[in-house]
Amino acid sequence: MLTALSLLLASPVFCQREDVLKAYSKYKIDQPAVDSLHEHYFERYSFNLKTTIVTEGTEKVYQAKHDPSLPAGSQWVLVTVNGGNPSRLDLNTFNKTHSDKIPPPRPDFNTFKVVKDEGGELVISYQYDPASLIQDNDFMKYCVVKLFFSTQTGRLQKMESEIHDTFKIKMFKADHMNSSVTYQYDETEKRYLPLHEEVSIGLKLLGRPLEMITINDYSNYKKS
Amino acid sequence: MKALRIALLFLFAACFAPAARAQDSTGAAKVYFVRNTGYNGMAIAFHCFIDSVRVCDLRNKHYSVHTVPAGDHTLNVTLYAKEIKTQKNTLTLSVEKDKIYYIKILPGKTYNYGGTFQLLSVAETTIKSVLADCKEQTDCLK
Repeated sequence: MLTALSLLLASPVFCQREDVLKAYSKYKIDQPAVDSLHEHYFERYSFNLKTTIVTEGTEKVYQAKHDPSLPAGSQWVLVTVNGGNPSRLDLNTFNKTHSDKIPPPRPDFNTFKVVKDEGGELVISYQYDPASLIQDNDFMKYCVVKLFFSTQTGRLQKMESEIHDTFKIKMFKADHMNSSVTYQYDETEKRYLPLHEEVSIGLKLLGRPLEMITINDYSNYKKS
Repeated sequence: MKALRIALLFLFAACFAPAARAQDSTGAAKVYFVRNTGYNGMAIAFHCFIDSVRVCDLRNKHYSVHTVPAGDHTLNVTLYAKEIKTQKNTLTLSVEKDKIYYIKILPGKTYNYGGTFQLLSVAETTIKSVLADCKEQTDCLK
C-alpha cells in the first residue's frame, strides 16, 4: 500500500500538479479565485454583453443584458441587433441559446503543468475532465487550456484555449478552435470576471472552409 | 593620444547610435494587416491605410507589419481608392507601446463591386490559424 502511494507521489503527473501548487504559493496566486473560473459567474452578477459574430462577409452585433435577480426565462434580454430592434428570429435564437443549461467544464487536475515560469510570467496548462462534459460541449475534451499569470502581481492576465485536431461541434465539422479571455478581478468577491473573450473556429461547410469569430465584451458588472 | 581619444569617442558614438535608435523603436507598437479573403477578388491588392497614409497594397493570403507610435490611430482598407477622403468604415485603434495588434480584413458581401470592408482587431490566438496560411508581404508599396 505504501509502495503504491510512494509510486503515486513519485509519478510525473503528481509532481506536475505539485509544481503548479508550489508556483501558486510562490507568487501568492489566489487559488480559489482561479478555481472559480470554472463556475457560472452569471448566476451572481448582472452585466451587459456585446456579442459580435463575424463570418466571411457578414457581421452581427448583439447587445444584451443579464440580471440573475429576475425570474428564470427573463434574466437575459436581447436589446439590439446591429443597432436596431431584434427580429423574431433573432429573439428566438438568442433565447434558445441562453436558456441552455450547460454545466461548466471541470479541469482534470492530473493534467496540470507549469509550462513557463520566467520573464515575469507564469503559464499553467491543463485539459478538461471528460466526465464533466455533456454532448453539447464534448469537443472540449480536446482543448488545451493555458492560464497566464503576472508573477509581479499574482493576477491572472488571460486564459487561452486551443484545439488543433478535427472535431465535431453540434452538426458541424471543425478543424481548429482558438479562444482567449481577459479578466477583471473582483476584489470583494475574490473572483475573476471575463471582460473580453474571442473564439475563432475553422468550420467546414459543404467542404468549404469558413472561419467564424465570436467576440464577447462584458461591462457594468454588479453583484446581485 | 588626444587623437586616439577623439577616435575612440567617435567609435563609441558610432556603436551606441544604432542602439539608441533601436531603443526608440521599442517604444512603438506593431500593427499587422491580415488578409485571407477567399477567391472573390483575389487578384486585386487591397490598399491599407494608417492615419490616412497608404502603407501597403496587400495581396490575398498575405499580411503586412507596420510600426506605429503609441496612441490613437485610424485604419482603413479600400479596394480602388488610393487615398482616404471620408472616414467610412474606419477602425480607430488605441495602441500601447511594445504591443502587437492584429487587424483582420473582412470583405463585405459586395466588396468586388466597390463595397466596403470591416476591420476587426483580434487577439493573437484568434488570428494564429489564419496567419499560418499567410506569408508576410514586405514589398508593400511598389
